[in-house]
Amino acid sequence: MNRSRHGFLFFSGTTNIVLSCLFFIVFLFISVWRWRIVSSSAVSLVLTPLVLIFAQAESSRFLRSDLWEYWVAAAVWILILLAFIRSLFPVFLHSKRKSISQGSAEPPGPFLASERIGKLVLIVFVFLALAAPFVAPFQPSSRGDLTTTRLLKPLEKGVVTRLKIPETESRSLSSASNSLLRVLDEANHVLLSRQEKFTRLSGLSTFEGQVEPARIRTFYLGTDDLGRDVFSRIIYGTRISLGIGSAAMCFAVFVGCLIGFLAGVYGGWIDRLLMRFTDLFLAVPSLFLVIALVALFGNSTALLITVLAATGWMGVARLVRGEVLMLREREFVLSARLLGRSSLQILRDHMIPNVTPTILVASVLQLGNVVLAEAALSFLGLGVQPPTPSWGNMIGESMAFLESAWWVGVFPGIALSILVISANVVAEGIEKAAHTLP
Amino acid sequence: MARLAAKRLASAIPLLLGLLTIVFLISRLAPGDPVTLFLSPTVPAQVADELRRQFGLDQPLLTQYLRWLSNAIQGNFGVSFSHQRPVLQVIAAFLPNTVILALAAIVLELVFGILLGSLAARLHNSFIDKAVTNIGLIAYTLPTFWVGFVLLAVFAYAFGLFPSSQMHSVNSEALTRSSQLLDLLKHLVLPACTIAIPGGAGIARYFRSSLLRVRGEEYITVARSMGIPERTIFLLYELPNALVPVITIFGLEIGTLLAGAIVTETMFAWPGMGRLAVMAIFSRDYPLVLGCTLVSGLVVIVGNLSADLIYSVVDPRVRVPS
Repeated sequence: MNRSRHGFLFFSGTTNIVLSCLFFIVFLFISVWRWRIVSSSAVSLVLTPLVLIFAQAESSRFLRSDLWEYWVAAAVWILILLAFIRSLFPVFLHSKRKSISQGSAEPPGPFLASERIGKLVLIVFVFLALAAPFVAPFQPSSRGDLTTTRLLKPLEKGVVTRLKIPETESRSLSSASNSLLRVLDEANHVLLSRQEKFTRLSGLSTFEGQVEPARIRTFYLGTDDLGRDVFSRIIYGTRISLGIGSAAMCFAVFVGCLIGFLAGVYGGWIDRLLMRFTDLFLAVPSLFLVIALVALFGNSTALLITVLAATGWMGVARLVRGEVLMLREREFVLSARLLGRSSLQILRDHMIPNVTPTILVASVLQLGNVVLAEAALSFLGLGVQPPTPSWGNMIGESMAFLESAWWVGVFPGIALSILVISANVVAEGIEKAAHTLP
Repeated sequence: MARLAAKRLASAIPLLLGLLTIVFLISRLAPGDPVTLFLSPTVPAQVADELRRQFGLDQPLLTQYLRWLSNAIQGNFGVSFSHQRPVLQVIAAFLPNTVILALAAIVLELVFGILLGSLAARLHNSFIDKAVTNIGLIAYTLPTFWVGFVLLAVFAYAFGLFPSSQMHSVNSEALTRSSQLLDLLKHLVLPACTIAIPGGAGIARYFRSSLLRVRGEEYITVARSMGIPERTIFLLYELPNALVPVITIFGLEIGTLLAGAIVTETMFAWPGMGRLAVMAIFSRDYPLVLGCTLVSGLVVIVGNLSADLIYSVVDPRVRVPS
């Protein structure tokens, strides 16, 4: 387990260092390219608590809920930087263990390489979801001037204008005597000027004097029918897919483990009842059940998560039960029982550690399934509702103009496929690793 | 054999009852009772109460449940709001189209799955084998609607080879019998492939490992040592034995097939049950939504049951009481 500490960022081994270096180059590139936003966010993250402590009178002005995503992104940024700095000095930190780590390097192999790439892809997606405001060039629902930015092809350029922030609202403090407040105010101003409400469709005469000078920007993956940047929407969509996906996955795995352990450990009529119950849920095609539930209960995010979890726990429950039943017959469990251990102790010391790899594999697979289910629901228009970008609803919306603009739906689909495939590859990798363990 | 069939049938009955209960609970747990959902708020409370009494909504839950159960068993799932007809009639009108689509997809899945699977197993560890397993893994995990999207973009729009939606051409009434069939087949190609590509990839992978497992069995070694030609061994000993576990997978696959049909039918405007369910949600036709859920559950239960029975016919080992 200590091996990972010696690696660069998240990985160890040669292939991994190459991958991690790539990741870090991208990280540095974004830091330089979007320096203003990154630094403002970091300043805002650090100074806001200080202001809350030392200048409470002014705090209400600075505690803005619409800045939280920048704070999260800045926190991730700082963590990655710290991890990088730490991995630069392995000699000082773990000089004694270094020789051990070299000896236990993972053997290279074609499969392991693909598993590492899958792992990296998953990490990159998590990174994108958390640091979306830094990576995405535009806000997900900001629209350029429709006459020039509608349905642009990938890599085409379009004219972007945006409204200035009203100076009176947030800049009044710039003359404040407190330099701390002034710096924070400056940072928040930079961030707020990126917020969607200030970048709505403009360039019209009614906004004369409030519009910043027009700029020509490249849309890397083109724009959709409302002139929104597809690339930015995909990045923000990662948040929805992974957020809903991981929440529903955790929920489903928890329920599945609970039922699986109950059935496996107690056996008898409890087992039979619970397994009948599981069979019952397996009998209804999950998408039909989800659709019925969403139709009657609505599709708020919390409900979506619950519904996706309610239709995804059965596989985990069966797996865990099977594994527990098998373990019950093993010698070490029998001898533990003969030694007079209580069933709770046996569960804690022998069952749970042995079932963990299976649960891990099942949860990574489940993540892929739930992300797919969410995308399918949103594609049908029953999941995440349109102004919020989700990969599924982007593909669904693009169906209307698929004939003229293929790129709007193709790229979110590629992102979705990559995420799901890498989840499967990683799950397969964990499974193989678990089976080759002594 | 008959005893086994009876036992399997008996085990399906609680499943059916549970399915009916779940659907009832979903309909009752939903916020607001049916009357408040579908009556405009301006209707006087007296009328609403009268309606509630007529529908039996004022009675205890158990009574309602029992009555609902007896209705459902008799095939009475209520009246669809948007179609103004009994739910079962509406579903019966749409289900055959789904069956056509599903059958076409099953045939494609089986043909390509078995061909590619046996090719990969015969050329074990070759380039083709690796291609089938790796591309198969990717194809198997691809989302249905994404496959459909790509097929639509490439074959319907870019090349214009196949029609993009519906089941018949606009002028299909005027065509002769045979060209009508051709027209239907043309419309069938893309949706069937959309379902069959991920499913077929799964079957190919599964069939490959099943074949490899059979190859290690002793009776194959015996056959080989007796000098039976490889081709005969493959066709008469390996293939049938490897096909047996595929039946179980197939029983499980029916649910996936139906779920895939929801997305595919919506995508290609195929007038089947999946699209019916989606349309029913948008028109807030709850009895129809619940009816579709119920029927799909029924299909899966029946599918699993028949897969079980076929399995026990094909593989005598299952029949021997242990």
